[in-house]
Amino acid sequence: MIAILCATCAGVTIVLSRSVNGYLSQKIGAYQSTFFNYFTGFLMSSIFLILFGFVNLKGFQFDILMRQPTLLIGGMIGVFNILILNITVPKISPVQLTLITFVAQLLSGVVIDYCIYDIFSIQKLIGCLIVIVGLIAYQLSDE
Amino acid sequence: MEFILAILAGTIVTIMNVFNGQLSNQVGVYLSTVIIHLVGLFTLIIIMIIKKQKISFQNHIPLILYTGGMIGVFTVFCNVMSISTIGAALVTALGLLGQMLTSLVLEYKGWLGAKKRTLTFQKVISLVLVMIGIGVMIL
Repeated sequence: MIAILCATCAGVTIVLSRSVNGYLSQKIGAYQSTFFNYFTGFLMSSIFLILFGFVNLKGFQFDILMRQPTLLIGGMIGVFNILILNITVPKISPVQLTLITFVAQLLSGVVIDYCIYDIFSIQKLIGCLIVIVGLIAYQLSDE
Repeated sequence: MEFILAILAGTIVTIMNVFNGQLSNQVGVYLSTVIIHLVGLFTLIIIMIIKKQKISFQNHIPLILYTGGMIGVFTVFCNVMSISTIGAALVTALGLLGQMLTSLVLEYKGWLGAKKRTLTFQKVISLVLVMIGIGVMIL
C-alpha cells in the first residue's frame, strides 16, 4: 500500500516540479530557472545523502567515475531535458504534455529494449497505441 | 513545434534513465542523485557561459517557485522506495496516474500558469481510454 502511494506520488512530484520550473522560467528565463532547479536539487540530494547514504560512502572508489566517464552522460542529458521542458511547459496544456512525453518515453523504451537488451514486448506496443488514440481523442475534444 | 519538443523531452528521458540507472548500480541511489545534480550544474554553467547568461536571485518572486529542483529529488526517492516492492511496470503506470491527476487539477484550476480548461465528458472518456492502454501495457 505504501509502495503504491509512493509510486503515485512520484508522478505527482514530476508534474509539480515541471510546472514550478516552467512557471519560474516565464519570470526569470529558461537558463536561470534551470540553474536554480539544479542548485536546490543538489542541496536537497546532499541532505539525503548525509542522512541516509553516508554508510555507503565509506570505501567508495572515485576512480570508477574516471574509468567510466559515460556514467556521467545522464546528468548532462538531464540539463537539456529541463531546458526543453522550460520552453515547452508554458505553451502546452499539462495533460497533453504528460501524455506526449509518456508516449515518447514508452516508444523509445520499446526501441531501446529491442536494440540494446534484445527484449520485445507486444503488449507495450499495443498499449502505447491505445494511449495514443486516447491522446488524439483528448486533443479533439479540446477544440 | 511545442509537440516536437515534448516528444524530444520524453525520448531523452529514456536515454537518460539508461545512463543514470548504470550510475545508480555502481554508486548507490543517494550518491548518484548528488552526482547527477552536480554534473548537471557544471554542464549548465558551461552552457550559460557560452550563451553569456547571468545568474541573479530575484527577491520579489515567491521562494516556493525556487523549489522545483527539491521536488525533483523526491521523485527519485519515491521511485526507489516503491520499485523493489511492486516492480517497474506498476511504478510506471502508477506514476502516469499521479501525473494525469496532478495535470488535470492544474488544468482545471489554472494553477502554476496553466491555461484554465473545463473537464468535459469526451475528455473523461479519452482519459479512460488512456488508462485501458496502460492496463494493456502492464499485463
